[in-house]
Amino acid sequence: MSLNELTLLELSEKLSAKTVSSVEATQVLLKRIAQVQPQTNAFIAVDEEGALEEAKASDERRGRGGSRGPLDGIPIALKDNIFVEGQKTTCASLILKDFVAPMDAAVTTQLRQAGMPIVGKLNMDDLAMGSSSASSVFGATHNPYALGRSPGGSSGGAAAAVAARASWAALGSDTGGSIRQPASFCNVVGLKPSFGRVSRRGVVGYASSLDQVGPMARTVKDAALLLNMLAQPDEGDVLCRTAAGGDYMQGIEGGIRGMRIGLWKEGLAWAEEGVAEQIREAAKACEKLGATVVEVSFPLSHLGPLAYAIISAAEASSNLARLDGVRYGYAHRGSKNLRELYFKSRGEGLGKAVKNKLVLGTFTLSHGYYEDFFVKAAKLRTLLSEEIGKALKEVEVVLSPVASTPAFPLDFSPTPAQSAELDKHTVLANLAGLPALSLPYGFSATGLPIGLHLMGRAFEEATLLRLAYALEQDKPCFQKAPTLPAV
Amino acid sequence: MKFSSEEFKTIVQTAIHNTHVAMSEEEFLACQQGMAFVVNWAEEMDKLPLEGVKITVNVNFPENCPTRPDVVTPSMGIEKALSQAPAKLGSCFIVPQIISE
Repeated sequence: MSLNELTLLELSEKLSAKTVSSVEATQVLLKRIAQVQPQTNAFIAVDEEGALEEAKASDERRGRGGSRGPLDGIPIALKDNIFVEGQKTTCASLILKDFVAPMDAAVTTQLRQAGMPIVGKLNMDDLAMGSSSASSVFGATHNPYALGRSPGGSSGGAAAAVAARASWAALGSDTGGSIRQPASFCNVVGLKPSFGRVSRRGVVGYASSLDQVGPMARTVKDAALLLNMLAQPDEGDVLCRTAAGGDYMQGIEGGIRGMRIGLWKEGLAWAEEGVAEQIREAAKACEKLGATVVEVSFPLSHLGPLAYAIISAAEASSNLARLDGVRYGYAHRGSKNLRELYFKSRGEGLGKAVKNKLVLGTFTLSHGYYEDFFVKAAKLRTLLSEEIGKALKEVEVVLSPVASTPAFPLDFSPTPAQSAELDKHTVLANLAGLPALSLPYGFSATGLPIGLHLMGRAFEEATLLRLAYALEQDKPCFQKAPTLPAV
Repeated sequence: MKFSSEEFKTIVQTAIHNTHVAMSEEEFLACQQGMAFVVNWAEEMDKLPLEGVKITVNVNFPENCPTRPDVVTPSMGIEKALSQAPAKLGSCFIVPQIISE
């Protein structure tokens, strides 16, 4: 088995045992990236020299007995909205195509402290607004399990890279499902931590009350190991929790006997039959493993995407006002006045979907409409959070599909109504600030991956991981690799 | 909220203007269509018992994130802040004429 086919934890064990070096692992990975990049277009940039330099430093540390822990020497790739000082952070957008990050993001600093070489930046939807990764200015990413289909979005490059065995793990970001939906489409584990669990400092903001950074990896334990590193306080993000998360590996093998689990009635009903069948099977597996499964209902959940559409647009409109052609980013040349500079820089630099979102956001925050749109959506958010919170007093985790269907074709061009449908299973966790995880759980009749969605109580990621691990042991879907050529 | 098609067109044009984005006619029509979908859908919220409901701006806050002392810390510095400027002069960003003719 080639090194790139190992899980992150298996590689970690080999590095610890010194049966393989970080330089060897990085070289294999770079070869794999070069091999699958023409098919997947998962990467925007690869830092071959930097990654090998960091790998060499890791090997030297380990040789001196100074390893920084289980992640030291394992290369990782980042969604291209996460700052790496001195490297481009494009957000796959024309307006930031040449933007060089002036600092490391807090999570990048954490990766460096853990000793992880940063191998490259990953493709995504334009400014993280999308569910297909097709709106990237660098071209669409392809799903490794079906190259004519989308890997999901917006962290589609991250999911595709991990699925294609072109990275052991990646960091993505999730505003309405952008880690979990691509994880589901690409048969990888994707975890959106609780709001406030991981710092967002140095991550290009989309909707600041919803955004979270999280790990994407092949297995549940790999994701847990990464969360150990990420779940740290950071004064640079005022909304980041002041206490560290602890050790998510501890107790992960504890089983789920006695756990109370909810099966989300509406979420199941929205899914096509092939997807729903897998989720019902997961519920049965939970019972087989000693948990109790009850049906839970969120009667307002069909309005989750509406609240999300309004709130995310409003926050994006405010956040991205900074992209003005003056301070950084694309600027229209030869503008006669400041107004023209703003209009033309933003008009030419922002993608169509982004512009539509920002205009909607500006409208919902406008005098005369604010009360009827933004305020009502923020109240609806409260009702939705209360509805879910009530259920989560009775059960510890809620199960549902991640998406109604498996990966859609790359040329799928959704109507506004269809776009809203794409996020309907995932947005609730963002609106309520809850942790949620996508677990590979079966394949469609045509071999497309299906994801199981696990949503838990705030800051109880450990419970999600324990359940996900139990189900993964029972049905190890992660073992089925896509049919791309081997290294 | 109900709008006539002319009213709605003006609303969309105003929102585009306030967003500071140039749009082609084709983009305008797509934008209008997307906004119309959300505006119509938002009528669903009128049926909800929202009277007296608190708004949620941020979840898990401030319970888990107490405020911190307001302490001055070093910023990134002028040179770095200007490093990505499309146009600069000395320690300033260059902008076109602000007062239009």
